[in-house]
Amino acid sequence: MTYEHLELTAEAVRNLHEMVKEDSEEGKKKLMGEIDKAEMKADQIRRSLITELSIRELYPNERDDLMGLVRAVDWIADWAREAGRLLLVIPFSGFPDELRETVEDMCRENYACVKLLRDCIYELRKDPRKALEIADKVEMLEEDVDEIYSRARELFIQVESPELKRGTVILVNEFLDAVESVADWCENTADVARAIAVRVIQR
Amino acid sequence: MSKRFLGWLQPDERKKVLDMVQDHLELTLQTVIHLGEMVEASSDNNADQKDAHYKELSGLEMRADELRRKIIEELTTTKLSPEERDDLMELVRSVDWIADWSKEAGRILKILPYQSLNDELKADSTHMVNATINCVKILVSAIEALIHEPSKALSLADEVEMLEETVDDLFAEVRTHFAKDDFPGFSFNALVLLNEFYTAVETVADWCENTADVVRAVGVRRH
Repeated sequence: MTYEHLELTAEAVRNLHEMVKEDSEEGKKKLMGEIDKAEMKADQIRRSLITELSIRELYPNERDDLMGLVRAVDWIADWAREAGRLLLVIPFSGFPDELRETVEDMCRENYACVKLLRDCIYELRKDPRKALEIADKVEMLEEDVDEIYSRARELFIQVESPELKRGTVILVNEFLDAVESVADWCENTADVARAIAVRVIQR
Repeated sequence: MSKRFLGWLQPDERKKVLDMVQDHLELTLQTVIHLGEMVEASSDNNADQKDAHYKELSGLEMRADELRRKIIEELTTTKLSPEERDDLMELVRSVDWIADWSKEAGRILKILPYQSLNDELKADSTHMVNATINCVKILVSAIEALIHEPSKALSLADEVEMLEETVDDLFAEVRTHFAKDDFPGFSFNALVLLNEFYTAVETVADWCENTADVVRAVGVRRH
């Protein structure tokens, strides 16, 4: 179930990347539908996992670890959906190419980040030391996203258009923040995975 | 692992903790209801009512905070297993965030020129706030059901999650106005705060969802 949850989350992040590349409104809506579906299914799995973890006889530490992991992964999908929802409202295709490409870069790195995180969590059972190594890589990728985010902000403050509504400016800022939060939660999840790996190694 | 929720307490202790939790829930619910009243008063440009409801809301939140501290104190001094104590503490803390974010929304609303919004956005905002109030009401029922009818608590927790989705959808509706409306009567700074107001309302619903997760975990163990 944890793995299925992860796959759905990665799917939501992949579709967000597709969505920023898409120009047509119809195409964007379709991809948003995919993100919605993945996030809602992930939510369902989270609920079942919480139920499952509460029923099973586990050590409290173990249960807390797994719950922490599931909740952290869930935030990744939540932020991907939040970014998608904002993208649907803002006139993104009217923004300068360089800004759009920078956002595309952020989303591509986000997808790379979530794929690495998936590998990290898969390794927890097989090879916790390798999981630790991958968790470090997730962190490095998150830093890359941070850098690109700074560049995106720099470009964003240069945007001047009389057609741009003041409300849109607020939403674009929130959109960039949501995209960055996807990577942030990958990093937070990697921290949870790291704690689990250390515990497994010490056993 | 705890198998029962509050079943381990002596009858007197049990009643005391239960009464306190119930009071805390009631205060939280009232906080959100006053937020709804505040939105109505703001729509009607009734400044006196708006202020009066904010005062009520603010006072209720402070009482909820005070009570939360007392509950935590009570839980620390009552003989409980660590797990049982954690369950209740997590539940109370989580519920407290609902009151906190309601107050935050009220605090922002108090200074906004809300009456200047167009009718369509006012109506969308009212829907969003009402859906949030419903979400809190169902959550309160879910927590109350934990004590006597844990299986019902689980289905109510699912309902809370669905209502949170509704609030999310209504939030998306509200956001479309940001991209298309001009907001006369709003300075840019006021517009930033208006966005924060909606985010605070949405966060109330988010915390209902988070609390529903706690209800689910406790409910399953009790079931």
